[in-house]
Amino acid sequence: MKLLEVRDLHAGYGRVTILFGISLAVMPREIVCLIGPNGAGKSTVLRAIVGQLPATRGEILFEEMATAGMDPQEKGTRGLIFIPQGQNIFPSLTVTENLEMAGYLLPDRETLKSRREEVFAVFPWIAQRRHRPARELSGGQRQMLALARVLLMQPKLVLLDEPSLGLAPLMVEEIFERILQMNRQGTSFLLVEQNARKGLAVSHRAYVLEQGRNRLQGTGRELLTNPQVQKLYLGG
Amino acid sequence: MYYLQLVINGIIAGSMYALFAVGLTMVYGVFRFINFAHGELIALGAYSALFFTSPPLSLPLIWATAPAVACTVCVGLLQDRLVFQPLCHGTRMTLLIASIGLSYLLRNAIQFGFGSDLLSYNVDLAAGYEWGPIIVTRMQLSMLITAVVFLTFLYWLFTRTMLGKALRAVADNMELAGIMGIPLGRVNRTVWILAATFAAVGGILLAMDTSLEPMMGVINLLKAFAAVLLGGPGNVWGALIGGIAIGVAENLSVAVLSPGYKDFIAFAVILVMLLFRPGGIFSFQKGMR
Repeated sequence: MKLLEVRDLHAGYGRVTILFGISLAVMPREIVCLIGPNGAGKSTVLRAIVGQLPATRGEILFEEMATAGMDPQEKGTRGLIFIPQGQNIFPSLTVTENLEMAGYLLPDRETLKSRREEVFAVFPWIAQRRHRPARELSGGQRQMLALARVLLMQPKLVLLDEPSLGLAPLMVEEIFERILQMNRQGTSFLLVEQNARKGLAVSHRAYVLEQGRNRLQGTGRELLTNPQVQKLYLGG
Repeated sequence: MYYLQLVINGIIAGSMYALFAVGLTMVYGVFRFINFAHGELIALGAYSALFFTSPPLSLPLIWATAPAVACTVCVGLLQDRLVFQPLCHGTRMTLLIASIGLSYLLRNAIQFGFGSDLLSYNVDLAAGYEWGPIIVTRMQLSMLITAVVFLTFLYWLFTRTMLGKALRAVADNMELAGIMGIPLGRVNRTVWILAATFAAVGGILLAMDTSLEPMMGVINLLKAFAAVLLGGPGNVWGALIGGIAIGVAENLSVAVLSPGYKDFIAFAVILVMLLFRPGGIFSFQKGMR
């Protein structure tokens, strides 16, 4: 069974169409990466799946159920979450409060508490800074805090937009290490990544998008060695 | 001692401004516009209490407070539902102008219902407590206690409850809050309920201390606006401190100026803040705390 299936998706902002028929699928336990040049519509695909943009045509199925008409609450409780790029934490809330907000969709306080302890165990620095405002965190720490939502919610699929954006190389390594770890525990990822080499290296499969259309697809390794992809997106 | 008395008077007057300013800044923090009709919520609270204490109902003032606050909350929620929600996709300017229009509408409705004369509740809380040369009336004491109770409640709500934390999260980033499944509708209603409640309670207390007139909302809105600017728009605790600062400054000015000019302080603060520190004196911090 496909976890997520997107068929012939058309979407855009107002009268400007960005996606002209994107199709893709994510299987359970898979990391799938979307790569492509700026303006290819990678982030737009995620936004359309999560429902921030209405799809003008096409179908989005999560666990074989149409997501049209589901609000973020319902998607979240069904196991589909979205971590946007950049501003993806609440800077004026404390670190713990940020985690609590992420747990708005959990069934009860007890689950939130025990999952929070798990987060503290995995990220000891979060426990240390739990009462500090999140605005004091560095860019990498913010991204980690956003990723900690995955441990809290234990979703089936995470839509993750540009996790490495603006981070130092060491931090990027750590972020992807965490993603792989979470994936081994059963969470699937649909990842948009500017850093195509890194994205392909961690992904099981990937799609190359161009101008709002599917261009190529294959396993991460195939695309890494594909001469066309190398020339266009991996700098030769 | 004279100055100490002025400072005490100022803190008490300022605690009322703080009640108004906190609501005004909360609405700004979440919806990103200054609601000029907030002043009319103040007046509406006072006038609905007058309605419940007058014939045919003739409730004692203490019992009239609850239904008066409830009425004001209803108007606050209706403002949102009928005017601001339908306009929320417009620009900030649209909302601002709409709120000015709404302010006139509500003020004239009050004037239509109650006339434009000075009215009062006929309660006497002028009796006071003396500590040497310092005098605090029972009225002043009730104002101070009420303000402390309500602001403490707000602090508790913001720091100890999911709803309060969600409210701060929405003020930080509404889009992200929506993505994360925070119930935006419930949070938005909470903001209006809090703002209207604080306005109504403050309005009733002010009317007990002085009198009721349809313009009472306008002048207090300006004081609250000055307090909001002082604290930095959207900063709840900044607005609280700003309100008290304005109350103290106004009352201290009485030592050198004729009391008739004390409103000038708030206007001066508005001008100076807009010119030099539009982000407030605490502008190094962003968001709602």
